[in-house]
Amino acid sequence: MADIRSALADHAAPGRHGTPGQAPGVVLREVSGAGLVQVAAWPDTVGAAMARLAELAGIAAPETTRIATAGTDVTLFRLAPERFWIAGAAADRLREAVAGAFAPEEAVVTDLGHSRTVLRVSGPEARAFLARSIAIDLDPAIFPLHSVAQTALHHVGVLVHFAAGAPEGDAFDLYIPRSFALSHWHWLTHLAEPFGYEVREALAAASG
Amino acid sequence: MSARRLGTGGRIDRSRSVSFTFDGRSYRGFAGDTLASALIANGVTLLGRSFKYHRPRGVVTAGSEEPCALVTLRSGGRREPNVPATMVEIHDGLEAESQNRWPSLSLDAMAVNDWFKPILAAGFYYKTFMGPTRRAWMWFEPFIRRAAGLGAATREPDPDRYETVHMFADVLVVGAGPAGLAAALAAARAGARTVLVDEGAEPGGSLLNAPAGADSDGWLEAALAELNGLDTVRILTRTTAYGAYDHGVFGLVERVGDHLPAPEGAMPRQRHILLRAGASVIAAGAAERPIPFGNNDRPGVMLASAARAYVNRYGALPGERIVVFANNDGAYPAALDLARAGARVTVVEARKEIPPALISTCCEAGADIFVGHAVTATRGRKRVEGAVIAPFNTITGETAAGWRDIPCDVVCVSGGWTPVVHLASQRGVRPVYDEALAAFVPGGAAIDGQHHAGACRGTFSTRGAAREGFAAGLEAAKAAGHGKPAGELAHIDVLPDDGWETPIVPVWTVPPAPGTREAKRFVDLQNDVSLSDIELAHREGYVSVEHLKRYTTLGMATDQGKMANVNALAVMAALRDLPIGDVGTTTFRPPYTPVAIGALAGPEAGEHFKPVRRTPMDAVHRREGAAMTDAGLWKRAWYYPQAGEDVNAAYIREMMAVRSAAGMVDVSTLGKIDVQGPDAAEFLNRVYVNGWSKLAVGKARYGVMLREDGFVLDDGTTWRISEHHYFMTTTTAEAARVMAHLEYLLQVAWPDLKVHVTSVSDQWAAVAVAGPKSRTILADALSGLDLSNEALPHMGVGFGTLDGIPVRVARLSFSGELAYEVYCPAGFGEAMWQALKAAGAPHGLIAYGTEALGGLRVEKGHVAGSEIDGRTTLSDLGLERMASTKKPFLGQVLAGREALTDGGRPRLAGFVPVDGTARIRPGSILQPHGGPHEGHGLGHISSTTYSPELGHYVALGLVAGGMEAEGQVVDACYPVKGEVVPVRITSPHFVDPEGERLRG
Repeated sequence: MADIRSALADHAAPGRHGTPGQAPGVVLREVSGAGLVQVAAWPDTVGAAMARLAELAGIAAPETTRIATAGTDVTLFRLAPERFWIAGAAADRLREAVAGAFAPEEAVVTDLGHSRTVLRVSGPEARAFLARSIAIDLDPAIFPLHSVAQTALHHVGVLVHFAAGAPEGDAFDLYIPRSFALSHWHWLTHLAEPFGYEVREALAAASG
Repeated sequence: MSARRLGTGGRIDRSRSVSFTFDGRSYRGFAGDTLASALIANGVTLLGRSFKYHRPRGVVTAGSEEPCALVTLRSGGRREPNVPATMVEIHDGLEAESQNRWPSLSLDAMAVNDWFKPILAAGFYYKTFMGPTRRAWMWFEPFIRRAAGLGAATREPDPDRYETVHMFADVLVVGAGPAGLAAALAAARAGARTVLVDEGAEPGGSLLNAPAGADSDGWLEAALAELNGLDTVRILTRTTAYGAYDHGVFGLVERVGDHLPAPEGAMPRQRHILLRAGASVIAAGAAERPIPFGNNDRPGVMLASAARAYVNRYGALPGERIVVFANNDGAYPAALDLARAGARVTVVEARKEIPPALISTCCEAGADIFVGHAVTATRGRKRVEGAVIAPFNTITGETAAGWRDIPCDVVCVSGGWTPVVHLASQRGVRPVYDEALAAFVPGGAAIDGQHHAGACRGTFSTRGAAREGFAAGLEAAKAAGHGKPAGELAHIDVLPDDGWETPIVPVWTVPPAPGTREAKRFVDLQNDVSLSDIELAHREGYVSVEHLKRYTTLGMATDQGKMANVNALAVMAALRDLPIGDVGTTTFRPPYTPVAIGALAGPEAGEHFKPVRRTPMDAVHRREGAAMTDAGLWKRAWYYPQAGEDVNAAYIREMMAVRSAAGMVDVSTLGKIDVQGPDAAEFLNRVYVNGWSKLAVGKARYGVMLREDGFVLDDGTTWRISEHHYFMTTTTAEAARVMAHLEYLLQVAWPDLKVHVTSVSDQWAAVAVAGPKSRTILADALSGLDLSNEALPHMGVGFGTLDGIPVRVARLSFSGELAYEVYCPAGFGEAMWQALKAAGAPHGLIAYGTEALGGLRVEKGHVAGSEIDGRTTLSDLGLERMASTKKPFLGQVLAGREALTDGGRPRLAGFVPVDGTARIRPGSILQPHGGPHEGHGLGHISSTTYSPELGHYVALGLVAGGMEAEGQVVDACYPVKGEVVPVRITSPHFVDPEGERLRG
């Protein structure tokens, strides 16, 4: 079977770009190999659906749309009061189990694993860099670890997740619709030039 | 030369010399100089020519409110006109030019306008160029346009980078003078995330106009040290808060690279900051205003505070013999500092009485003083040579006999101070006139989250401003939710307590001295509006401030009348015999000072103007040499030219290949919507005009949706994947609109339906394989799917794998040939394309693009976006039989309106050229054959193609009568090219009208 081709294929070679000098202000890398499965319930079934989801994923389901829950290889997002995403390497593993876990009147499942390109933004200037693109207050007091924002990035709806903190440094995952991914890559790398940026190898989702 | 550099003093760095040019001549200045201060130091006093009369003009202010000294900087694509010389920080290699003069600044041919002043009054254009004929204005217009304006913009692209930044703060402090610094200290100590902005190159505001080394400098240093030591504080200099918007949003522009020869590396030239603040302190200060007297616009007439700034901040003395004309205490620090710097100063005090102590201070400093006098006119043209003064009565506003001439080269004026209330005014807050201060102040306490402090609130004492700023900072922090104890504001006794002792007495204008000739008294210097223009406006009935402004253009120049508005209001109030407070003010609009369009565009220019949407096979198409075209934001393969082919040759070849063998086309751009839930079938029944409850699992159906108003919204194909799971496709163009439409219905109209819709447009790559060989090719390529006619009939759905890639397949046809749509998860899209290509090669499979795609469906008479254009109904498109009679559907009711069921509406038909060869153009208007060709005729041609199969052009369109007029001839008129093509009305199904091919 063919490999899954990244929307950024041939455009995201590792390297150092932009303002030269010391350490790059921004590090960019794709997060690959992650699945994405959507579970959508209804007001009368969302409680039970969340419980089932938590059971399957092994972690609590998010209480609000503003904070995700995360385990070693799985992250759960709540996009809307009754809509959830299972992301991370576990999503592929869980896809079949999830597909069969709900009666039609309880919840419906949609595979979105190919619909997003996930870009991880880190580096000492990550927040200042993202401020050039999204109108979200990323101050850690307002947007703590695992915060989620669904916002517009260069006119396109993107989900932003404060995915990781110390010791590797704060990292933000951007879930970008695949058809816009290359265009957004050009946009973001253009904005990253003044900070000096480094592109690294794609990060396998399993390593979290 | 009288203006010169002082040997010592100023806050410039005398160790760093800077060379620059002005109008081609080289000059030297120091780091820290502005262009204005450096030119003054070099004895240059003529900087520009006025807008209408081309009168010589010089520097009037030392700040952003500058009306006259506007220059053009740089060259080529970086050329920038109308930049105030007072705001330009000089650097090595700076090139500046004066504006609005030809052939030169000192000899300007257009100065003849000055002689025509009496005719060129306000309203001149409206009254003069209106005849003798209706077209007269357009004849005059090019001449007027060439004469208009100040600077000239470049037509070359701007090579600089611009950034947009989103910033958040608890408290924004606008202005880093004494009030602003104190406010920032208070807010930061209280725990608020604080952003302090100042338009100057350094923080300090009015403190920087005190002599270097003054006691207040110590306070400034300490305040900055404390602020810079806090990581909750950001100080942005060279940053103007240009606009205040809803919900505490402020627009700021930071001039990042303008003080450098060019921005370095990837540095932006300017940064546009959208700042959301919980609360704000506006400490924007006050601007001194002039007093209109005769010829008050000559180079050398400037604000008193500006002259003080040039001496104390820049070490540049504007002249040797200086008259200081004032009606308030605020002018005296200027008079004294000028005298101490070595100028011969004469103070002309308009008020009748001032404290004897003040008079003796003047005398001790070597300055003369005339009390109860006013300057009535200046002498000199290219610069001031003398001032005429006369006894003046502030109560009657009249001058008395006994004028005298005082030789001088500078006249400093101080008519009072105008608080900078712009940011409050932009929020709709009407300022309130304070009689005692003769100034408009922001009304009320905190308005719209803005807390005012210092001079912009009418507190002109430096010490008082600091105290007020501190209190405002605490209030703002509290309003933003922060209240940690902030202690006291220390050491403010070193700040001068320089408020007014004697009240100001307003002097709005000075009439000529008896026995002297009347001369123009300018009120708005930049737009050349004078007192007589205001009087004219009043005589002609334009008495409201809104009319006064627009009739005279007062306040409409790039300085928004910062120094003119209050004087004009007061003059109009006197003419109308009303108190000033009753006349009212116009509303200030953003921007406070001009903002480059580049800064507002930010990085969204050129290739970054809008995002680009690509299919999973985009790279492959380009490698195969496809010409690409835009479909909304998408890039699609348009045609695949072989050697020497243009678009026409290519699409004709591609169409022929599809009909004779097979072709493959990337249809990934179609909207794809996952529809799931126990009520999914019911939902489809409601949104589509046709029925869905009987569609079996494993089958697909063509559907049409209407808008609520009964017009066709979109068409597409929906597949039933399993009992409660449907896969809907829409057209590329309407995908987003249909998605929003469905979500709206589920959330608002039918929340009881258990259905979820999810866009999966990006999840799937899709290829249509069409042509007589399509089945054979797919049978070779796919595993696990029986493609026989019985197992997968027309509109059947199946699942299989292609080289291990999971695919879902529907037997659908857009082209009218035997055809299949093959879908796989997007990440395998390129692999799927390559596998299909390989399987198809032995069978003559070619790739085709959107041009051929369109041609094929036109040949079949399938409607698409050109027919479903939002103005057509089901019947118009010949699809009325699709509408179910057994169940209601969205749009059904309004589709029954008279106008939509009118039999005379243009309806779908096919068209062929009568002569068998002519080209029919889309968009042609259909008119009765042979005439008359009037109005909108009988209908229009919506889509056309050359038909390789028939050997001539065919077209689809809408015509009155539709198919009932079959056989008739009408004229297809294309007025843009002057073409008239007779066409015959036929069936729209040109090729394979019985539809046999897709059932094979």
